[in-house]
Amino acid sequence: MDMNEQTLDVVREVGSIGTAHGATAVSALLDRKVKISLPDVRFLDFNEALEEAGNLEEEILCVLSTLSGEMKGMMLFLMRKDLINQIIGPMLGVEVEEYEDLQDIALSALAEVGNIVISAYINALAGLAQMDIQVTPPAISRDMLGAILSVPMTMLGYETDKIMMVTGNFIIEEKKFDSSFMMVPDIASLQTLTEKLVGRYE
Amino acid sequence: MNRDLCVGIADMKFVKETGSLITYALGSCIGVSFHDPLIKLTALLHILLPESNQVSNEHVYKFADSGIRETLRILSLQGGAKSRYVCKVAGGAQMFQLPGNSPVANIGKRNFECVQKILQSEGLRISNAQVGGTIARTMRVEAATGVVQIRTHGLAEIIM
Repeated sequence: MDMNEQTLDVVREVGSIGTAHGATAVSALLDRKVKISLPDVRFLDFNEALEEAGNLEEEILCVLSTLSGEMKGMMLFLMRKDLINQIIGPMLGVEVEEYEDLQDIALSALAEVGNIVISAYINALAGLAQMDIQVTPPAISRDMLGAILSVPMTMLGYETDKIMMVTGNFIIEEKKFDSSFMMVPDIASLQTLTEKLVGRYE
Repeated sequence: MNRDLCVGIADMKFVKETGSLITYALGSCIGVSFHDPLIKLTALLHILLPESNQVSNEHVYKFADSGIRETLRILSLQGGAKSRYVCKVAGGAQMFQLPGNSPVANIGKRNFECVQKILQSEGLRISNAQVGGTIARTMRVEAATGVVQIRTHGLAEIIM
């Protein structure tokens, strides 16, 4: 599909409002200053997206929710160990060295944080675009980055070979974490979203 | 190791006699290796989805049915013979427990069932498989021998 600069700008703008809400939600939960960097919007071929992701075998934790209603797609919250410890430290008073060390309670806490961020983001987006969007309860996985990123690709695969990712990095107490927050809409929903929003911006 | 030829997602590559092929981080996707021991011809296919439903023929390797058939066609042009192929399969896991109504729920299982069906319809047998579960797998295959290595997190390397 045709993705012009204007569309990308709108998606970036909406994304930054969504991530701001997500950051505020985590901030309240952890009682720390949390921000999410200005989102980066990219539209890439599957293999380009995987190349950019880096080491595909890297172990990572991901909280994922599926979107339905007027917006179909997925939200992924990719967390690396440093961010995980920033979250479970204040909440549970524990830290982990390895992903395998995460106990059920820590996984539930991380899934819940993911859920809060994702819901805050989607609520902001739904409000702005006046769209009815449902979010499924979060699912969690810890495994290879490449395998996790292939999940939204399987969702999109019958329609396209390209993936649009709106990503932002977490900043806690001025320190940037290499963990990201990603929205992957399907093609039809992206069109609905931009139709609803571009008109308003013009 | 760094001489491995990398096979991307929805992709296929082949090598003859020397070298090796690798595809990283198969989740619900499936890697299928084809090895003709007589002429040491080896291919590695990485599919994303089961049936192509005639969506487009632009990206044949994205689907199990069109991907396997195209791989067989290319290999036959290289002198490969179906009667000799040793096929090994990895992947088809479920990375997330998604609700049953999600379009990608059980996609790994559906991928594997489709790969089995298509290989069978082509008269090919799967000699070894490492599929299912909830783990991601990296699959590497040697051209000369067709030996496959499977790397995962938390488990010892599997040779098949």
